[in-house]
Amino acid sequence: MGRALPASRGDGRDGVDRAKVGATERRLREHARAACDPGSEAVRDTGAAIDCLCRLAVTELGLLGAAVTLMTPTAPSPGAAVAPAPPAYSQAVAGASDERAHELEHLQFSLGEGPSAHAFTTGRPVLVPDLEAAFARWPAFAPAGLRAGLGAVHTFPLQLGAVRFGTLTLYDGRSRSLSSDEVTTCLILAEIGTERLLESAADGTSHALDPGLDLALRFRSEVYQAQGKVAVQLGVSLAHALLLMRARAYASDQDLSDLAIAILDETIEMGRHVD
Amino acid sequence: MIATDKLADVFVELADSLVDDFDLVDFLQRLTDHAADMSGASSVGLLLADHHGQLQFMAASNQSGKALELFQLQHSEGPCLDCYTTGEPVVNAELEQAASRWPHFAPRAIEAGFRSVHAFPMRLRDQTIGALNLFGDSQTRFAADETRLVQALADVATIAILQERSISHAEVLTQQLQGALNSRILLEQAKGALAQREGVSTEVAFSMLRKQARSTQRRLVEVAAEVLEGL
Repeated sequence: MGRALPASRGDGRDGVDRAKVGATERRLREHARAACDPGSEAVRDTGAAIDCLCRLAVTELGLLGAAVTLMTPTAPSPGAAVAPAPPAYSQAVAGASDERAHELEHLQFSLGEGPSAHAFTTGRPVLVPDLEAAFARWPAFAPAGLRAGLGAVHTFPLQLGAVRFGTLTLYDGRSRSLSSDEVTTCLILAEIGTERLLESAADGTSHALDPGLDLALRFRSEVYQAQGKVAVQLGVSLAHALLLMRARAYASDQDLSDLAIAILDETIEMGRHVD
Repeated sequence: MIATDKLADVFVELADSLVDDFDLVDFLQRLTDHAADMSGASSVGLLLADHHGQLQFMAASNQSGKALELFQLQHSEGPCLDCYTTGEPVVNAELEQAASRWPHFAPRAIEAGFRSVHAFPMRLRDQTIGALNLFGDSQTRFAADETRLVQALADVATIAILQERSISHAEVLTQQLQGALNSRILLEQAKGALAQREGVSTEVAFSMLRKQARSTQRRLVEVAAEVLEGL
């Protein structure tokens, strides 16, 4: 009783091929499930399971890296009178194949654009086979991605029905399209990732995230600290403060985190307007 | 023995109950009622495993069904437990010949007026989440195609339950993420804002926030939110 696959799969194939495809998918699903089983000896907890899933994506598809970012709309947290300022969702990296994938994920956040945000807001996969052709779409991220050695990038939302938790982003060093089998592989990996996250929540009734997952979450605290500082300094909203910081970082070709640290050290003075 | 004329109605009604305002207890109650009605069993009971894998009583078509389910749980013995453990159905088990298989359960069920028992696993792929028990007071036997029908009913219910669980886990996860992510980010923003306002470092600002949370007995995130108010 396999879960229904997307309707576009297997069109025009005869019964035998379909059965064979079904068996391959089932094997991958079982393999991925077993490899990323928190509670198995190799995988300590949910955080490690997400890392493992990313590494599996890299080996299955021959990628540079893969990363999972968790996102949530910035509804006020319980007891809080205000929501954190934009982006309209809060995010943190929950796992990655390696440090480089972490950095690439951060690059998207730093620039405030890229496939992860797009896939999260639309709930649809974002497939970019040729980053060079995406300059108009992402004027900051596309060139930065190319410089970082990317040829293609693909993001799949982690979601159940209308509820979305984050994204699985695949970074490819080559410029190429995913084959339909590879897309299926991605969808299966995204499905297993979603499954693992849901399992981590299965015991929880409170607002506390699964401890293994909680510890794995990484975000740049300096950016948010600097955001608060700039907002007070210039008397602007938090949202405006982050926009000014991103603009300044972009204009001076600086990483947002480095700029944030300079702001906190007061070695940089932020102006109200972009030069 | 299966009342096939009722089948369509049963499946349609179960499907209807999935569309909106799904209530698990209500759904399982209907399921046991329908299973009794359509199979002619005198009692139907249903056990589901909780997230620790422990079976719990969930619903029964009548009081004697409930009593027999609870008895099985108390004595860790009976068709429902066998079915849950093996994932295989127990079909057409005659209680009079089952004294060695279920030394506690069989005499008790006979005493309650039952003669036959059947149990169907509630299973999806490799995951068994519970079992559906049918108790008959006459020597009722299911033919092979009839057991398939009861199993189909259990399968539909299983999918409904798992889907409902996933959705409620998804809601919990969303809340957890909002709590974990939003409040942390809020706290960092508040550190920076307070540092600027007071002309101190973010570390000092953080101790100020903590101190204020302690002295006013409020959560850190509330104090942080207050700092950011008006920004």
